[in-house]
Amino acid sequence: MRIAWFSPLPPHRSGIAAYSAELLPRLAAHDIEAFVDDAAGHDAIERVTRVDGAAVRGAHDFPWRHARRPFDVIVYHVGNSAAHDYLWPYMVRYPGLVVLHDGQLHQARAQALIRQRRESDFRAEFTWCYPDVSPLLADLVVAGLGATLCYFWPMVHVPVQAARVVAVHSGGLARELAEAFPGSDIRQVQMGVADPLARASAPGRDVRQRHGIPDAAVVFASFGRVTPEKSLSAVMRALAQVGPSLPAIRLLVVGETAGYYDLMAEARELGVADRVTETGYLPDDALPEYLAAADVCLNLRWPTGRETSAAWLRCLAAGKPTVITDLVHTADVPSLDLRSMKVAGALPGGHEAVCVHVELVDEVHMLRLALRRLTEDAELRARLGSAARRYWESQGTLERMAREYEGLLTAARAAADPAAPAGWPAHLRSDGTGLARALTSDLGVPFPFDAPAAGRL
Amino acid sequence: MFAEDDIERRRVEREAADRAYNEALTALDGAVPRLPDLPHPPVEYDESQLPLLNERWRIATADPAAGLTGWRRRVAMAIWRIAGPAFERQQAFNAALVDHLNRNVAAHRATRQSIEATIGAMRGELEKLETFHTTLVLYLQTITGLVDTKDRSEHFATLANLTSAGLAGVADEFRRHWESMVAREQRYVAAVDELRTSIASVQQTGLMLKRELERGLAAGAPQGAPAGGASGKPPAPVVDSVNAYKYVAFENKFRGSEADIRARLLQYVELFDGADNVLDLGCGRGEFLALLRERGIRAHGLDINHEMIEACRAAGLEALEGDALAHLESLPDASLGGLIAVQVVEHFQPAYLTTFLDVAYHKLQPGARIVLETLNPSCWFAFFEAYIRDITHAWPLHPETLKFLIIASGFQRVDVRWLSPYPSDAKLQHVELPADARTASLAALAQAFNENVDKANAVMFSYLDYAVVAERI
Repeated sequence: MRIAWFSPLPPHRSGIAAYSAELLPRLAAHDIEAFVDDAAGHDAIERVTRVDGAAVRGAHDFPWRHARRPFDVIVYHVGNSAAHDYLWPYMVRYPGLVVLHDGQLHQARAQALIRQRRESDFRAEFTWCYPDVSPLLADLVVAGLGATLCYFWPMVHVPVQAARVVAVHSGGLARELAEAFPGSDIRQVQMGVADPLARASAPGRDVRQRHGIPDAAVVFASFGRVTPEKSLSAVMRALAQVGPSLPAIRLLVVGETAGYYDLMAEARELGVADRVTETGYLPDDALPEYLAAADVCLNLRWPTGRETSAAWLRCLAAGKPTVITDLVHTADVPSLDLRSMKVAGALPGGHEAVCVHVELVDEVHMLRLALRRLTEDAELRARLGSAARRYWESQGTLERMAREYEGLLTAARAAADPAAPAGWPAHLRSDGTGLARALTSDLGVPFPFDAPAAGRL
Repeated sequence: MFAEDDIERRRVEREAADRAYNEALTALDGAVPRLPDLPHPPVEYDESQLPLLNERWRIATADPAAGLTGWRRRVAMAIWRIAGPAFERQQAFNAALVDHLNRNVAAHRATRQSIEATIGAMRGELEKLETFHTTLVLYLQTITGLVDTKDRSEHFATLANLTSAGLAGVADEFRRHWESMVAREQRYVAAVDELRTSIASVQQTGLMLKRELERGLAAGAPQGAPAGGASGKPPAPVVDSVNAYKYVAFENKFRGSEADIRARLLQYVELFDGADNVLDLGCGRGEFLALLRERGIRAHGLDINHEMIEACRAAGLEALEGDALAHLESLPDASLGGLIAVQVVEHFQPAYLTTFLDVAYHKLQPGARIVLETLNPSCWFAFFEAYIRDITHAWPLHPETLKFLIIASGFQRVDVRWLSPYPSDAKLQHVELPADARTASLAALAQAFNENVDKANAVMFSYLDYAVVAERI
């Protein structure tokens, strides 16, 4: 199958870039061309790390390559970040398989349009998505006052309704979208990650020595970009409360630091700075040894864009007990409620808890319980770790995801292009020749490409 | 909340005031007096010849014959006496002139210095005046900035930030609760499913025990005195007492055409998607069997009416003639992928119906659905105009009654679907008072009347049919 693959790729530091780089080699049987953001020129493409299984090209090359030799399926990886802005015009004009990594796109879409001074387009798109909601809310967002409110209006309508087939990783999100968009073909594909244990080159002890963490310490580790969304603030508040009676606890924060969030300043304020180690950005190949150094992994997330966390799956694959935020789209994961020691959520055929969950309305209290219980109960840690690994083996391997992708690609190839939805905003119907038309009009000449000869491209 | 026209009026006023202010400021800037070209001080008094004049004014000496002696002296003195007075007068004039010039040098110098100082002072004052005017314009321009920034002072910015933070805080708190509640709800739903499965298992066990007990009792009972009635079976439906051909005619007259029935039955097809071996009890002319066949679902029909069965077979559909309960009992347990009976169960006697439901439960596969559609006797119009019209109807089944019987037979996920809504325009209608007749008492009367209309409509003209959909777990 000839496939066009729109996704950021390494060295871009995003989960979806790493996801594509991991998945593409598993789909190498197909003829795949990966199209990346080349708005900054061809240098941008040259900087992309070579990916096995796909030839990398700039997105601007897509239309003529598709015209010359059409792709069977066009895959769009859509997420709530600026890294995906570039693919929207193609996604709208060339329907394909949309892999929706987030169930919430409002912030990225609003920022993209407002950054381009297209506030009126944003207002039109918002009103089209939510005709019953006051358009003043769009003005609030334009004024920069809608950060949290955005979560109430996820604005996924355009990608979903422009797609032949929509794939999401979360079953909960798939159900939610299927209810909201009954006419769309919404499918779930299990997310998969490679086995991190296969790449572990050094024991965790080296990591501990490097950062001055005692061997006897119980290390709670958090992975990924250090932002307030990781709920580390709540973790440190819980640590400040239980720390005096649990001297063995250490918090290891692995990931690039966001400029607007000073974790260590907060740690000092809470009096736990001596228990917290911040590593800064680490290359992907260093992660296995840091995983090995962890006793428990913290995979907390709030607010959520309904994304499925590859970082969490890697922790499960590494056989680590994990602590997750109790979210709607992860509610069916069997998880332990430490207040009652009961298992919540269920998979067909088993009730073995694979992680510990923390409710948002009781966050610090449940984190205190988690810190205490998982520090003191090595047997529980071992049991959760084994269950986590089994869960990954049955649900989250990269091979399984690649197999499911084959089904998705086949379905997307067979599906027809969707009809343009009623009331589709004008800027989404634009053919992209607006500037050229304005220029030729200024020059007083007719626009020359209205009826291109067949095979012109 | 400001009205749109109010905001527009404020904008127009604000822009007009800005424009007037800027025009006045531009005019003021243009009116600032510029520094004039002041006269230069006079050139300095020319004293260059004064030393020479002071040196040369004396043209006669005191001794005109100085240096001469003898006769030369005497001749010279004689000449001097003649010419000397003229020279002396000239010398006196020279002396007076040089003296005058010497005396006026100081006055000339002082005058020039005074003029120079005056011009300098005037220039300084004019420059100060120009600086003052320029400063005044700058001051007015500064006021513009001051006025402009008044409405975006830190107070408003702080207020906006506080409002935004408050809004974000409330929204975040709301979303946290919502997220936790929905996650809990999902778990409860999962727990209810689990509970449902457990209950189904208990019910199944109970039904099996009941069945075994009945079999045991029947096997142990003396001949001629079977358990459960004279024949040992619940009484058969009454429709076999009606001539088959008459019933076909009756169906044609009152149930609607084949096309109508097909359209009406279409809604049930998706309930059997993926099923195999569906039984259509009371299949009639085979409309639903045909729909299932079109969807690729294997099915067979059963009817006690021979004419109906012939009609089905003529259409190439698989259909059998016989009694519902007898047919079901002849099937292996868990062999049916689904069961539908449209407008059938109201023909069953109560005892027959309960036995039928018990047996149906055992004959359906786990996960298979049962659909029973019947007339809705809780709608009076349906009861009086439809139910009693058909003399083969044995017992009216209230929706709650049928639902209970189905649950009691072990079925789960029971759902009642309301069908055939009575046409709105045929219902009792509200009264609308004319505008000129609206008094308080008449309005109260009209309201009471309309409420009674609603109540009457609810019991008399609601839904003519309903279906119970349930699943064997």
